[in-house]
Amino acid sequence: MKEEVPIAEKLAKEQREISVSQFFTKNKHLLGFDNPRKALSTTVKELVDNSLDATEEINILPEIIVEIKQLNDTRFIVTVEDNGPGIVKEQIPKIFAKLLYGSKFFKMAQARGQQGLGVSSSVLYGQLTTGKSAVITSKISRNKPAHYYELQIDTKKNEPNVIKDMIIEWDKDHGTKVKIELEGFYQKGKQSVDEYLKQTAIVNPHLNLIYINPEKYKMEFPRVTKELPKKSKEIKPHPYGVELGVLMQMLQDTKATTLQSFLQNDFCRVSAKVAKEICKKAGIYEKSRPKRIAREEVENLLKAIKETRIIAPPTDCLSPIGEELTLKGLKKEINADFYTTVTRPPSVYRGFPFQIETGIAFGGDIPKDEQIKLLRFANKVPLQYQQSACAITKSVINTAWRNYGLSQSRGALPIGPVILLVHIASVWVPFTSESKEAIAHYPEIIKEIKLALQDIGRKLVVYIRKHIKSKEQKEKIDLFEKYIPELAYSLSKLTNHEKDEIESKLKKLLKKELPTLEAENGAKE
Amino acid sequence: MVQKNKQIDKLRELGEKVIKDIDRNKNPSITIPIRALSNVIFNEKTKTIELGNKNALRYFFNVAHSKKFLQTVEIASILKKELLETDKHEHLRGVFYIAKRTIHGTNVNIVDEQTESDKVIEDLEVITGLSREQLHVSANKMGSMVGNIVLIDSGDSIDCSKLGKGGYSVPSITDELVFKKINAKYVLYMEKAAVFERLNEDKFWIKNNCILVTSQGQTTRGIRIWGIHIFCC
Ligand SMILES: Nc1ncnc2c1ncn2[C@@H]1O[C@H](COP(=O)(O)OP(=O)(O)OP(=O)(O)O)[C@@H](O)[C@H]1O
Ligand SMILES: [Mg+2]
Repeated sequence: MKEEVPIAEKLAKEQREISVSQFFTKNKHLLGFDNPRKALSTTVKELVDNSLDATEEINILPEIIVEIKQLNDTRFIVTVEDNGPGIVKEQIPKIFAKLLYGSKFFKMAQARGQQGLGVSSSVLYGQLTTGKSAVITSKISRNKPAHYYELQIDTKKNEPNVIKDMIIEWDKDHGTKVKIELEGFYQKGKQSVDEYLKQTAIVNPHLNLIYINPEKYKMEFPRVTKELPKKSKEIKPHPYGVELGVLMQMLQDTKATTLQSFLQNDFCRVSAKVAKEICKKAGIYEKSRPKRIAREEVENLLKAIKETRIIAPPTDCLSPIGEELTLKGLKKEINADFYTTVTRPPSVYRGFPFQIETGIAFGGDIPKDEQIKLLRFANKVPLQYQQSACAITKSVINTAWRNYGLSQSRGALPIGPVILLVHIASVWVPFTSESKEAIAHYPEIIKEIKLALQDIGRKLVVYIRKHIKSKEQKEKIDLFEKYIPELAYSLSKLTNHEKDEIESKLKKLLKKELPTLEAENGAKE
Repeated sequence: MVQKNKQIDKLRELGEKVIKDIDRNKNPSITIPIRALSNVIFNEKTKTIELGNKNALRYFFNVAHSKKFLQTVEIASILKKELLETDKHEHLRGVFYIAKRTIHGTNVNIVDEQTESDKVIEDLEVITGLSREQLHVSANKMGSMVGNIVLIDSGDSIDCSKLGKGGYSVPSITDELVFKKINAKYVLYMEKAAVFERLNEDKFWIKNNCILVTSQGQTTRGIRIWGIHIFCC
């Protein structure tokens, strides 16, 4: 009999390392590069988001220049330049030419970026579609040189491949300029680069942005406030937000020598008493060495955490836009008759602080008989895709807008001349995928969004009632003034009383009846 | 002419009541019996259905009422001034055309659709307790009649057996017709004019000694009143 090859050995032959480029090609959609049009806007977005994060980090008013040069029908060069802190020489290759390398992933602080994936995936996309290197110029201070790099990603090893490394003159104190060539498609309108930049300008009123589009047309989005947004603070993770893998990693990385001190020092809101309680519930000796804790014990630990009452994390670490600045942002980019904004107090989901803000622009240029335009934002970044999958959209649809002066059919966005802005700020925004397009449906988040919408709805309806009512009121009085001579004429025909006399008496009566007319709302006979 | 005065007085009364409200500095109102199932009573004695005594008030200074109020007064004045006082009759459609005009300084018409003026005329019937015909508003449609019957219509004697294919045109107001001679066993009424014409062609009424009547569609008030009269004599 012939000897059978064990199945496992067959399978073993099929095992091989997956290169990042292969992974990327298969999962482009997860990262926002599903099609050429989206690839172009995602690239701009990743670069601008990083620039905004970087300037915020050093408390400086951002000056950003975005240029999209069109080489032919499908080929573009995107350049984004900022006045941020710059990047130290050694880090430049890794940041731009190594996937999953970043400073924000382990930081519990509100930032636009969080995965260490954004800019390097844009570089990789450009490289895969054009073969061209990414060009980076960065300078960290006036008396330091500017570094110029041409980089490629070694897609087998996921390591940077330095093509060129030079020192150049750059008449700028500090900042970073990134140039990526890619295959793309430029189109205006919904979900376009232009729209992304406009919305970015709304929620970043302190930003001065210059944009040169593929048609070589230069647009300016001027700064309307010199007030910097409140700086977000880094906080330690809260025990409720931690997952098994992360907890295991934290136990390995910690400097603490006992489990109790690990819990106390590496998390927020864990007192000695709470730490002891967790250890006791988990059945683990509180003086155990964190690195020695076995996997099953970590599971017990996680369970014990869930069962222990721990106060919510501090929420003053967030950086909301604020009611006043949201208002300024809306006013500068949207022409409407009425604007209002609401910033909710911070709240917590799964141990992560978050905060909801919302704003409305009503009337003016906004179309009357269409569904409202919903602008979604997460950590001040516009979310342009996957509207229907987003918790924000769900919350808007499930709000009873009829109570707030708009019409709405079941399961749909309301109808009316409204642009509605909803912003979620959080130290960790729960996206439904890596492309950061839609907010996951956490009940705590949905609840807060709804409360925010109700708050703003009440402000809207006050305006609508007053505005529309006062207009209707005037029309009403007008109408009676027109009816009175007609009635006087008919009555004089019917009774032979003097028309003018009846008319003047009716006019006096109108003045007297006016308050009642205002109060009534068209009662039936 | 005594009769007409009563109608004119009733309409004027309505106007005077409104004037009184105005003089008393009150929101002028008109009282209208409610024409709804909830306000209908069966009168055992006369075996007829009558309106009960529930009323609604129509106010001038009320956004929902004001236009109807104006229509009511305007149409009342039309009936009084242009029909009763000059002893003329008008159809519903005619009244609608007289009332239809644009309110000065607006693009609003006193009435836009005939149904509006028709409704107001019905209102005026119940307000005054007088029928439309008494108010000189005639029904729109008339009917035809053939048979062994002689009538007096406005002094003319008409023999309905000698009027050829078309027969006698039943006027919209039949209250004042006088039956001079009837020699028929029964009346055969039909809505469809085509059937009437066919039976008349076949001389059905001669063979069966009856009177044929049609209203060319839904029974008009003129025919109904005529029916009551012929039934009674
Ligand atoms: N313009 C810039 N100026 C200064 N530092 C930058 C700039 N762009 C990127 N960085 C640094 O490079 C890191 C990697 O950026 P990248 O966009 O890949 O990831 P991220 O912003 O952390 O997260 P995400 O994948 O969500 O965008 C950032 O964390 C930041 O520290
Ligand atoms: Mg980023």
